[in-house]
Amino acid sequence: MARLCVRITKNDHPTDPSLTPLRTNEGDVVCVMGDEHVFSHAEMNNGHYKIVEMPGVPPEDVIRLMAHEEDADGKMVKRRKVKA
Amino acid sequence: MAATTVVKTIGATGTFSTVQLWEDGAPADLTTAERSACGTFLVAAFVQGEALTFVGSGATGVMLDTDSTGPGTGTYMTYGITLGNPAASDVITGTSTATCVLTSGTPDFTGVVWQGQCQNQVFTVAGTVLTVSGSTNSTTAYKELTTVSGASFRDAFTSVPDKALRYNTANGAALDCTSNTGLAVFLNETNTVKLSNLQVTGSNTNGRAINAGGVTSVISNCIFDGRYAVVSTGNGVAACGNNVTWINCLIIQRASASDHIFATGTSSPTFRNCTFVAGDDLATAPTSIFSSGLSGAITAQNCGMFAGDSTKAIIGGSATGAFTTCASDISGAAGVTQVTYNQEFQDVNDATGDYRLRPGASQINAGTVDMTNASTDIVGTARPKGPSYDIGAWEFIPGPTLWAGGMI
Repeated sequence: MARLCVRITKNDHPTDPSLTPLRTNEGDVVCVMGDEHVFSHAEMNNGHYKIVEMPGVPPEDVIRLMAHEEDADGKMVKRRKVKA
Repeated sequence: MAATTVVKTIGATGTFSTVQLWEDGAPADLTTAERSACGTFLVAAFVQGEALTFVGSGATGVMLDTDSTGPGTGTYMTYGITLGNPAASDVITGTSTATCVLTSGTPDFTGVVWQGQCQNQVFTVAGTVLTVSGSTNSTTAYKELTTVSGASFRDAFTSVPDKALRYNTANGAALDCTSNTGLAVFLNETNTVKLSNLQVTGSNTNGRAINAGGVTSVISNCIFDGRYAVVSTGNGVAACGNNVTWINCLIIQRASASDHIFATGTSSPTFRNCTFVAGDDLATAPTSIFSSGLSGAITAQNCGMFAGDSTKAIIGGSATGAFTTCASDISGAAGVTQVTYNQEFQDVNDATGDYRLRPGASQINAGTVDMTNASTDIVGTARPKGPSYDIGAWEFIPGPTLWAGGMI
C-alpha cells in the first residue's frame, strides 16, 4: 500500500516569486512511502499535510507524483509536474 | 548578526520521519528566520512547522523551534517569517492554539542553519529520496543534512577501524533510491547546501546518487554509489551543476560499460581528497572519470581517479582540469601521477570493494598538506599520518597491520 503525504496548505515563497515553483505547494505530493511508514507527530499535527492511503497500490506505481519538471538544459523549473 | 543552528532528527523516532519532510519543514527564507526571546507560554505546546500569527504587529510565520515543552515553560522561539516584522509584545499564536509573548522586537539571532540529522537507518524511496530547492539561503543560513552522532559510517570506523570502505548499510545511515534511472539526492539551491557523513546510492539500473547545485555548497565525508551508464554531461553517479566543493568523498561507479563516473556539465567544481573508482573487474571500464560539457574547469587536489583501464580518459568533454598531486591509473594529465590500480587499495573488485589504501600504496604521503580543507579524512582520521597528506579520501595509518591471523 502506498501512503502519500500531500501538502494541503499554500507554501509560496514570501518575497521571491521566482522560487515558488521550486517549492512543494497545495496539492503536491511531498513524499510517497510504503504502508509500514509511520509519520511523525509533527508531520501529522502541524496542519500542512494529509496522508492519503492507497490500499493495493505499491509505492513505485505512484512515485511519478513526486517527479519534478525540467527545462531542456535539465534545470528544475517546477517542483512537481502533477498535482495529487 | 549570527545565525542559529536548528537541529532536527530524522528517522523512525525523529521529529521528521523522512528527509524530504525535513526539507519541506525548512523556512522559505533562511536568511530572515529569527530566534527571539519569548515568555508567557500558555494553552498548549507549539507544534513543529505550524503556522504562526504575531498578534499586534500582524506578522505571520512558521514555527521552527522552541525550548518550550508546553504551558509555563520556555524562553525562546525560532520562526521563519512569511509576512511583516514581529514586534515586542506580540502575542505569538499557533494553529495549535499555543501562545507566547515576544519579549523583544530585536531577535537574538537572524538567519538559520536548518540542520537535519539522520538516524541510523536506510531511507529508501522508489524515487528521489531528497530534493532541496526553493529557498533563500546564504553562506551563513542554509540547509544541512548530516547524521545523528554515532549514526554515520564514520562512527562505525571509529569503533571498529578494520572494515571495508564502501557503501554498506551495516556501517551507518544511508539514502537509497531504488528506481530505474533514479536520482537519490538532488540539491537544487542557488547558493548553499551542505551534506556530510552519509552514504547515498542509486541502487537500480542507471541509478544516480547525487546531483548537487549551489555555488557555495559543500559535500563532505560521504560515500556515493551508483550505476549510471548513460552518455551525459549532466548526470552521473555523482554530478554537479554549480561550483560545488567536494571534500573527502568516495564516489563509486558500479555499472559496466558506463560513460563516466562524475558529470560536471559546464560547472567548475573543486575536489579535495576525493576518490573516484569503478571496480577493476567490471567487464568494461568507464570511458572517462569526468564527463563535461562545452566549458567548465575542474580543480582537484589530492584526488585519486581510477577507471580500471589505463586506456581511458580522465576528462571527457571540453572542461579544463587543474590537478595538484593527484593519482590515477590513467596517464596524460599534468599533476596526475599514474599508478597501478590494484596495488593502491585493499580490494578493487566491484562486489567486495574496499577503498582503504593498502600498505605501500603510491598515494600514501603523495598529497599536498592542506589543513584548511581536509584536516581529517573520510572517517575522521587526522591528517597527515606521515610527512604529507595521502591522496584520496582515506588517510593510511602506518604501523602494524592486524590480519585475521594476528599482528604481523
